[in-house]
Amino acid sequence: MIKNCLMVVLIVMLTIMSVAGLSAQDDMEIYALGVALPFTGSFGTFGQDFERGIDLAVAQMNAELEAAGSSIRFETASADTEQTPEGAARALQTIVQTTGAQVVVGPLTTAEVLGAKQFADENGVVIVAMASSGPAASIPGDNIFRVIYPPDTFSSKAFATIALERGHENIVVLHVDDAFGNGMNEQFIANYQARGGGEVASFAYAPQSMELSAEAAAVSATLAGFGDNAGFFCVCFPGAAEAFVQVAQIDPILTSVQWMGNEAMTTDEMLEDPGHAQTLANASFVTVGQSAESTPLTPIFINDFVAMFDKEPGIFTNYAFDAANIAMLTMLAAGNDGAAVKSMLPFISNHYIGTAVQAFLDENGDQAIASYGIYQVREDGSGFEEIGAYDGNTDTITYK
Amino acid sequence: MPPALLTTSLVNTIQIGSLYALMALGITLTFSVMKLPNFAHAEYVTAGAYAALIVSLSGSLNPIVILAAAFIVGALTALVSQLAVFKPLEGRQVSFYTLILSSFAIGLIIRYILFTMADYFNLFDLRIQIPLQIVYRQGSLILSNLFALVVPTSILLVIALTLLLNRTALGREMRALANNANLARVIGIPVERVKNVTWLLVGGLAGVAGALWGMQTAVNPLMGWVAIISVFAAAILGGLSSFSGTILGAYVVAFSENTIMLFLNFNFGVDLAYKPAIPFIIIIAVLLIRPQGFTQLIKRGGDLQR
Amino acid sequence: MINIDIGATAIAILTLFGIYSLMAISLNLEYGVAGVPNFGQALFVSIGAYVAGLTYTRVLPLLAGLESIHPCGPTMGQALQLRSEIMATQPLAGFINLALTLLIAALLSGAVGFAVSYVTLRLKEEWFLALVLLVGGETVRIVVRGADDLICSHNGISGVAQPFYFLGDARSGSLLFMLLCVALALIAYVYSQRLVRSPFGRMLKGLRENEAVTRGLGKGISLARAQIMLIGSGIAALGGVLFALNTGFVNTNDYVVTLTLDIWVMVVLGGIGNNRGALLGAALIAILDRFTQVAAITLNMSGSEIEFNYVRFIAFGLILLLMLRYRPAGLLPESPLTTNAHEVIRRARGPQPVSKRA
Repeated sequence: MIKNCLMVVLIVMLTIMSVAGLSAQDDMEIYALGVALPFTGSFGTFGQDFERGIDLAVAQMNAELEAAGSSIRFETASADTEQTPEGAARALQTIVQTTGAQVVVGPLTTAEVLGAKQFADENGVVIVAMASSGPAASIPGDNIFRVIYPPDTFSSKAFATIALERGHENIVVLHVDDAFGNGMNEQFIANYQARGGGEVASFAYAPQSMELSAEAAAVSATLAGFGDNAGFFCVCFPGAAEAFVQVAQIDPILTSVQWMGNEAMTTDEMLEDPGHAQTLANASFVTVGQSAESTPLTPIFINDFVAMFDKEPGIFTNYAFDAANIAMLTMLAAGNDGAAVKSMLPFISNHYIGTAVQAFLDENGDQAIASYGIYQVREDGSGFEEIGAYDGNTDTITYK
Repeated sequence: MPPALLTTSLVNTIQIGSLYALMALGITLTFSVMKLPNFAHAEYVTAGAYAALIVSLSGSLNPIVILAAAFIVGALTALVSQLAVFKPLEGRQVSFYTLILSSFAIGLIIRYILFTMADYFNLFDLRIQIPLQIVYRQGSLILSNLFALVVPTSILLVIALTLLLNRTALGREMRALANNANLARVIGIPVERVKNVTWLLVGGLAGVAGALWGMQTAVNPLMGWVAIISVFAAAILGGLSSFSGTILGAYVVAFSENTIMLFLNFNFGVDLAYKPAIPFIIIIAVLLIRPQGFTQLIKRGGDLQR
Repeated sequence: MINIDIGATAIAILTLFGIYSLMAISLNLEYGVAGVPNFGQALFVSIGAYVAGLTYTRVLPLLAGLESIHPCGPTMGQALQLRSEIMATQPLAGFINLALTLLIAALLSGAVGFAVSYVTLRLKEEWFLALVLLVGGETVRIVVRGADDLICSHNGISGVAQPFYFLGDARSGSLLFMLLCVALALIAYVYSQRLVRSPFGRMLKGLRENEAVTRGLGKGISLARAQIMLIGSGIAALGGVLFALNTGFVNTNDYVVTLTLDIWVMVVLGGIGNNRGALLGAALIAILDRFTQVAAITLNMSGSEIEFNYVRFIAFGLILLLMLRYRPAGLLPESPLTTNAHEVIRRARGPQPVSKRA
């Protein structure tokens, strides 16, 4: 029985290997580009969308390489992190040991990035993360680069400034209880109060929670206690954010104050329900996020994405697209060699125009330029419109 | 704790408790009749929610059509898992834990089939779009049309189930099966048919609960799995054998997650992020202190084993 | 392009085999031998990992003769740098720290297991214990996640390096770490084999089969159960320490119910009540995990619209279901106990089965 099982496993494995081997042509030099993302778990939808962004970048790059007569081609090898740190470590190991990839795009959250860190550092594999922003992974000299998506230090300043400009004397924050949500909350409070803001009350909701009526009730009651000039700031992920708006839309207090929200709340699904759209429009919902006008690549990316997948790119998908491009460009310059890629990646990325922002890395290998658009829901709730811009390096907001 | 918050949290308790009750009754029913703590129950909820979502996306916003679709899909998912997984294990004298692991395994399979489907058709985090309106307002007491849909639907289904159990031949057969399966077989009860009908009922209730839950929150492949612990806590409060105990348990769990949690937060600064620990603590406390749950407190009502 | 590094793959699989074996042997002792349905394995594994997080941040600097830096908050980066430097330059401190970690983890987890088993004596039905442990594990996880200072709440502790980090060579470091994991697993295996064959082990199996009879023979049941929980939980925590070291990161997100289920699957696949079965189950899961992941990578390369990372879990569920249906006793079913007395009788009677389990 066991022997039979093992034989079957062996035969299947050999078949897969030989099929994969046949598909590779001899005269081509194939570089494996690793992709480690959470395809399962509550961020599975992010993982899927990010992978599409990466696939688009690879397809475009291969087409250009072919047109230029180059013999190099890229091929993605994607494994699931299961949204856990240990899963990320296993995914990275499998990718590297199965395909010889030296550069891996991903993973998503800071916890996953830290889970993958030990293996990457010790084996000279370079990680190019596209959405991790927690301070715990700001480590100088390691093999982790967090490109394009800047640390939340920047956006928390933007939110603090917006809150004060809107005249909010006190703020209630609802945030997801993970490294991102807590980091954003702490930095927002520090910035808001340093700039003259008043009291901030924070509530955390457990990650994966989908039923937020108790949280909404708590936010509402606290806002009532804060009086007329209070504002509300939601640091929530899709799913939970929709569940929150669902219960908030009949709350008399939550519907009478102004809202701010993090970029992840600006999904199309948020405005799909007319009631939700109206609630957010009435609350003058404002967010800071990637600007659609700050670089010439943005509309090109969106058009190409729609042409390839017949749907709009999801939120943050362009960051994955950019991270994949930076990784591939560096590999074209440095070869499929982790140490060389590690050495060259800051140089290449600092010369890369992203779809949202110019890439530029600090001494920790983290994105150091933030240039955001400020978005507000249109009065009829039909979509988000850009009402201004935030320059992270001068810390200034300019309205249109 | 401000009085307005108390009112809101009590309304939430009733609304969410009703949904928990719908889900938990199925768990109590499977445990009593089939002697199976079924963790795949979570996935019948999700399957029902997806059926409701697809019907609503195809343009029909009639609640009856949506709930009927959810009932049918939930019921069929449950029946398939019985016929494909649990029935073949019967009579093999497998251990209790084999059954638990089987229920986890079939749950895993259904969950990832739903994941594959949601990915393929791009159905993550969508809502069943019943427009929400205020139907009653008196000071801080605000009731929505969702409340007006969820609570009566749950109550009607619970009453219907109780009548079915106590007043019909099928109900008598189910109760006989719950009390003593061998005896039931000997006195000529068509055991297999009764079991299949029970599974259809269990899955259908879960599916309806999933549809309503999807109107309350959003639909994704993990929604049932995330809610299942609260639901199990409710069923355990009912001693896993009593209907009335289970319903009371559902409201107790919802009350703890809403009113008690908010009370602890506002008066003692307990972080709301600890909310998921509440049903766990309830389960541990009940099993250690009062494993029979509410069964001894409520003598009358639809107990399955009397 | 598939280009499998067979050596590295083998080391990775064997490392996981060693770690999983410790967890599976622990559960097999508790459930397979003594009949205690421990659905809280993730809790006892996590105790080991949390202890590693604590010793690497609080004890290791002291062993190296340095002042420890608070690992969380603003000094997080400094503290990480400090422990990485110590692990790179002072192997002795690293080894003593690891030995202490393993010892503390086993003792603490064993004590928790012992205490839990006494508390749960009140439970009316045996499977309530399973449920209490299942949700108890999650409760502890939520509490640790919320505790700011223990392992820095959501941030976790990174830089929990393997003891051979000082070599500066990933290949030999991982090879030696794999040998350490496998060696610990084999020691646990030999120990548990002896335990099962001892009078204590026979009493436990008797207890599992028929509590009344064993009680009638005047055996102390609650103490025996508590003792086996102590031993089992201790072994699980050893696995937890190695589990954390294998990733180099301690974070509450890893110790969820799915980990417990995976361990159960190992024991059920291999054969309940049989330590060799536990080893086989651990090996199968370690291989299956890697194999399905490689298959998913390969199939996704084919450009199909289907996401094979989901199919991977469907396949996993199907394999489990088929096993439960067609081989409910596992691949290596439990063999009848043999003692010296049996041996004598067998010799006298000739070859025939001496006992049959009901």
